[in-house]
Amino acid sequence: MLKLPRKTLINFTVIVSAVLFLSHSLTHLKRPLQKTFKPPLSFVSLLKREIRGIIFYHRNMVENERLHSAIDALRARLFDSREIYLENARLKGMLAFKQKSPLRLVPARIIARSPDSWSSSATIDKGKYNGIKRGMVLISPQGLVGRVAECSDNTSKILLINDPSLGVSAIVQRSRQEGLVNGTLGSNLIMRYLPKGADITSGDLVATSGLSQIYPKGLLVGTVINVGSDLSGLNRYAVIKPAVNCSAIEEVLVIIP
Amino acid sequence: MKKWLLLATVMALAVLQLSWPEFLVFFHSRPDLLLVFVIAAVFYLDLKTALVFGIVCGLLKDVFLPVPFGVNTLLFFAWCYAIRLLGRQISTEHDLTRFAIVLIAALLNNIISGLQSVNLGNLIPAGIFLRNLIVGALYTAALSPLIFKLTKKIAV
Repeated sequence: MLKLPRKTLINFTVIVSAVLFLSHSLTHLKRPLQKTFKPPLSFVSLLKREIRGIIFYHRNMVENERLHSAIDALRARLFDSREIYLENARLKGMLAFKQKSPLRLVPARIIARSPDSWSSSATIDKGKYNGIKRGMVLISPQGLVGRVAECSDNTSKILLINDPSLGVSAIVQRSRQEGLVNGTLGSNLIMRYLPKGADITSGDLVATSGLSQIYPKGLLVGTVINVGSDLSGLNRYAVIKPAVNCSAIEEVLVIIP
Repeated sequence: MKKWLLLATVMALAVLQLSWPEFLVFFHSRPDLLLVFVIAAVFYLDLKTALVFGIVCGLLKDVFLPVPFGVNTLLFFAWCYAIRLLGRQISTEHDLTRFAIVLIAALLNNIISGLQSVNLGNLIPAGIFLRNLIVGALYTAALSPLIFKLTKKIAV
């Protein structure tokens, strides 16, 4: 059996008791000590930080500039990715529409817009080499876009649906009421030559009638937003919100007859 | 060398006008940068060169418009000549006078273009006609100091 000397045992007991007492007392001392030491410690820490800042000022400045340029580059990449994502979504929609449509379609991109405010026209990147001819109709998955006005070898000038020189024979889908849709140079179109008792109300959908032989039947033109009477009182007119936002469209499909 | 630089400026302005950002289009109106350049050319270049630039700018504008060819070429040529004649009668050195000249030229240019469109049988609502006329001319005049400065830097 292990026998410990009495002296060792007493020493051990005294040390353990002292440690236990001190640890118990230290918990009470902890807070005031921390409170007392906090201001000088904070001051020293601040001093250290400032001294480090002064010593490594140039290094930090260079690093800051590098990080800023990295942020700018990443922002530009993020913007590019978003543009590509949006373009991809638009092109996917057009491709799906092209595959579903019974019409022969050629996709084209708008490369320039009208240089003045008196016509609503644009230039597309497809021309005679791609089988485009004057008078061909342009559509998008949303509806009718316009007509080809002039053709060169690689580009074509197009009239958008809100150009006042473009007239489209159209019908109201619900009541089959016929009328002539014209552009106004504004954001809306006008459907004219509606008889006094024409059955047309706000919210009606307007589509091409197919009577002019230029525009295939059933292409969505827009939605009626207002109906009024001519100054003469003999005819009525309807204000139509076009299905396609002409000022924001970037890609179109040309119908090859 | 100067003339080549001016020609490059015309090209740059034409590209800018043709692809004017949508967020800078006010009330469906865009500024006529080429018209401002032609007027600036009258102020900073000799008449012959200004007339040549007037024709070049007019042709560039006409190429991209679906209206009968040559209208803007003729108009720009006429503005060059008219402004030079005006310069003999009044002082055109002051910035405000130049601003007023651009505004009047833009208004007249818009009136002629608008009336030509109406003459072709296009029905333009009166409100839209006035909006295009006034807002377009004001927008063109508002941007004129920038193009004047640019032209002066290259030409002088």
